[in-house]
Amino acid sequence: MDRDLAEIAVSKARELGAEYAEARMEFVSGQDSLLKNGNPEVSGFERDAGIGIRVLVNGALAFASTNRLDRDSVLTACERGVRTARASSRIMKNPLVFTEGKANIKDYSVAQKKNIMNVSPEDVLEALSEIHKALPSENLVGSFFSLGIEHREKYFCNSEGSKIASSIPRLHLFMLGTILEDGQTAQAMLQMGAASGWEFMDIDKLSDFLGNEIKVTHRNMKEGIKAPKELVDMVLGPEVTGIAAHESCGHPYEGDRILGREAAQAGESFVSEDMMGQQIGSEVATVIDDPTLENSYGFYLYDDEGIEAKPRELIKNGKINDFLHNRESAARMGVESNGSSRSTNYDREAIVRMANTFVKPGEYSLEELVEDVKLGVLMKSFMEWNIDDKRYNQRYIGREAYLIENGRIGAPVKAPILEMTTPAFWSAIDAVGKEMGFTAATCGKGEPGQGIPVFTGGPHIRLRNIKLGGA
Amino acid sequence: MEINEIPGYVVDQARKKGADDVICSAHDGERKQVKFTNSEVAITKTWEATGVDVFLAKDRKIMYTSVNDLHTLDKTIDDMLSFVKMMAENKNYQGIANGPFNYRNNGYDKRISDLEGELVELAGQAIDSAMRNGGDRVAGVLYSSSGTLHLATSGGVVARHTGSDMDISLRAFASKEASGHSVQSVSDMDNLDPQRIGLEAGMMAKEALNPSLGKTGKVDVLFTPLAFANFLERAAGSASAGNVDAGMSFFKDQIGEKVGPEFLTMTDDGTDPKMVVSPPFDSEGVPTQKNVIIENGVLKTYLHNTSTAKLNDTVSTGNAGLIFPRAWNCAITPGTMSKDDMISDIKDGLYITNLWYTRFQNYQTGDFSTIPRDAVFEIKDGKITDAVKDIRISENMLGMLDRIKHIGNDPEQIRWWEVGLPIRTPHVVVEGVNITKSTQ
Repeated sequence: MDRDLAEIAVSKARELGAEYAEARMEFVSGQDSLLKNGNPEVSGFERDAGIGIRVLVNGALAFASTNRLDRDSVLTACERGVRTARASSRIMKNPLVFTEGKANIKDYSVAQKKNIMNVSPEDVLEALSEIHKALPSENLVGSFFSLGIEHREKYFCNSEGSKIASSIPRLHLFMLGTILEDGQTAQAMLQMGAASGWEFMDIDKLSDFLGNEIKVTHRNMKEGIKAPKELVDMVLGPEVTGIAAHESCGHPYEGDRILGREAAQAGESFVSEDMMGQQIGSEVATVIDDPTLENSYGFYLYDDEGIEAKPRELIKNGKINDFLHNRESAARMGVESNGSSRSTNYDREAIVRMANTFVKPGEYSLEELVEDVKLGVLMKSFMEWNIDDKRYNQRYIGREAYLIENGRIGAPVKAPILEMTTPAFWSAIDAVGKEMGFTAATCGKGEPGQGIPVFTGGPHIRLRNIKLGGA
Repeated sequence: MEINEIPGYVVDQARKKGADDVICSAHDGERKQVKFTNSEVAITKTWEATGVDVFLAKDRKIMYTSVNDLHTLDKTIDDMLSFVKMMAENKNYQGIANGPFNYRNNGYDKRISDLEGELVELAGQAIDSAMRNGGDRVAGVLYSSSGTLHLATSGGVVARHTGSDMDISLRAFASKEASGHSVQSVSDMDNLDPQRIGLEAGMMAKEALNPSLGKTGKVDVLFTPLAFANFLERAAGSASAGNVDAGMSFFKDQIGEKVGPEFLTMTDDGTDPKMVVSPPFDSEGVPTQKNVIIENGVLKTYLHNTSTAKLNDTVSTGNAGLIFPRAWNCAITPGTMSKDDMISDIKDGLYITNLWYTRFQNYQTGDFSTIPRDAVFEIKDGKITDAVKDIRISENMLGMLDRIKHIGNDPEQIRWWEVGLPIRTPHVVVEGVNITKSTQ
């Protein structure tokens, strides 16, 4: 990677009058393979490289990118960025400022036991085939696997002297399984991922996990009973806890969303700036977003504005405690950026994003959470889900779920629907488990869209007195 | 080497080195964006990108790649041929199309690629219009895109296509919980009307002030084109033979079956110049055509490339993507009723103007839910009454299609953040739509 090109871009932008400039060069090598019903459909590889330049001129922001990595093309992109920023600055009523920056200089990478760059398409297809063969085939009438691996090298520099280089491998495994029982089908959509070397592909472990998901989904279809209509206590597994933490805590606490910057796309937030410190959940609820978790799918140590990453306690003991910020949203709210600025590639503007969002573990085992539930539902995983664009009304439909009666886990429950408001959800939690689980996911936001890798997670949590939905 | 020479070079070299089938496309384009927030420009963006995509088959083993460093083409070909040897045979692969073919001329508005500073002015017109007509603050985005695609295949295809288009998407807020959204996509710059888009969104936001909590139950719903486009995008996706085979289609095993009322006809039309995605040829170089997916309520065809067509004992519909078949766009045939007539016909129902976050519980059965966003109104005795909020549609796609009651006479083209495929649809009424909401 010719880091000089990025440095030249920053110097040129400053010379043209930008009060702030940054450049981010990225080189990506990756490959994807698809296995459909056991048949190796196709494999592909990608080599992508380019530069994104962001400038602030008289309080107006512009972003320009090119994938032609020669000096002339980079300088042209720079000139275009400064020119368009200057044009929009003439009509700006509220010039934009960034929080004060300091120069960070760092070079970091994720260690790999088996380098993914040495993995061949044959290795990938063989891994997928082995997993496919190990799955219980009796009721599995359709399967679709995709496995993507990428190695991303990034170099960021800005006019404040930051120079940050990173080298991060990532893997992403997706499976869609269609399960048949008595003429009816159900589907399990499963994702796994990590910032890791090829050692992540532990075939036995992955086969066991996916095989179990097929079995429990089939059992649910075959033996599942209807969900109770009366009030129940809910025990949510880590997968459901994690999606709720992501959707109804992480998203509404994004600073740019609160300020309306994503209003026409991903939406706004029911949370406003003046709600900081307000009690939004029960005292046992604490939600953290932490980019620094080793080997996590959302891992990074410095964000795409050169700010050092750190854990953020979004909800602390039930109170709104922090928002996710980049340098723009932080400046608007008069605080410091907490390193939440991310982009998916050199050709995308870095915006406020989550990384790995989870409920902080408590003290209870699953048995202890269940033992004093008279009538309840244990929802271990979900299928359909969504939430409105202010992040207030959410819904999760259970895929693997069981009835709890008098402290004991019983028969499977078919498709229980948790459909409730965000404050009601976080306020209903009365106990938090101690064993954590994480799920890899791709979070969508931005215009054009940026699907960014994240973890969602947490322990089992218990919610009291819930009326299930679907009426 | 000039970009137009790359596809031919790659195809020749790969064939000489042993590939059976090769497709290479090289593209070169520019995109510009003005993003506005809180009624002023938040950022301007420009993209300049060149790239090469290659599809290669040898001994029924398939490989594809995307690269943008044009100096590594020879290495890329060598790598592909080296990798493809390691792969297993794809038993479903049936080859690519044999050309050459004749293509129609495609319109191209060169003025769009020349726009730069004018984009900020056009965005400003939309913002001002929304603010004058009820908006308290406005957010949105304006795009201009232009580019050229060069294609060559080992089936004898050499083709070139240049296109350009513009999109505007604007959401106006009259209060935190009262908003309206309007969008427009055009391939002819003269048709772009930012003031109309601002006006529509602004007025809708104002009318949606002070919403109350919506009710649950099954009601007739009038969907705007912006809202109904969400369903048609999923229907067009489900028509791809690739999705049918992957278990991601609710049209599986439905060919020849009734999937909607007799007045429902749904097409994919790669020849319609007004649709912002209507290239003269598909990724194999097969000329695009008008495909009637649903005719008079009956599912007539899936969308095919050469390989899926042969597997299904039919011919390509001109819908090849690099790997799987895809729709270029989707439209339903308009009816005769006006929006007002349709409102008059509803005794107790809802008027839903936008949707988002559509998620499936099961792609094959089509069970899903989606969330009304922006202005939602109750309709009582043929009249629009109060604004409502906080409801969800919990439904089944096949059920919804079957319960279409009226298709309006006012089609619009929709493409925006939530609906990526260009869709042309009028207002549509669906009977008995299941509405749920949070229980607490």
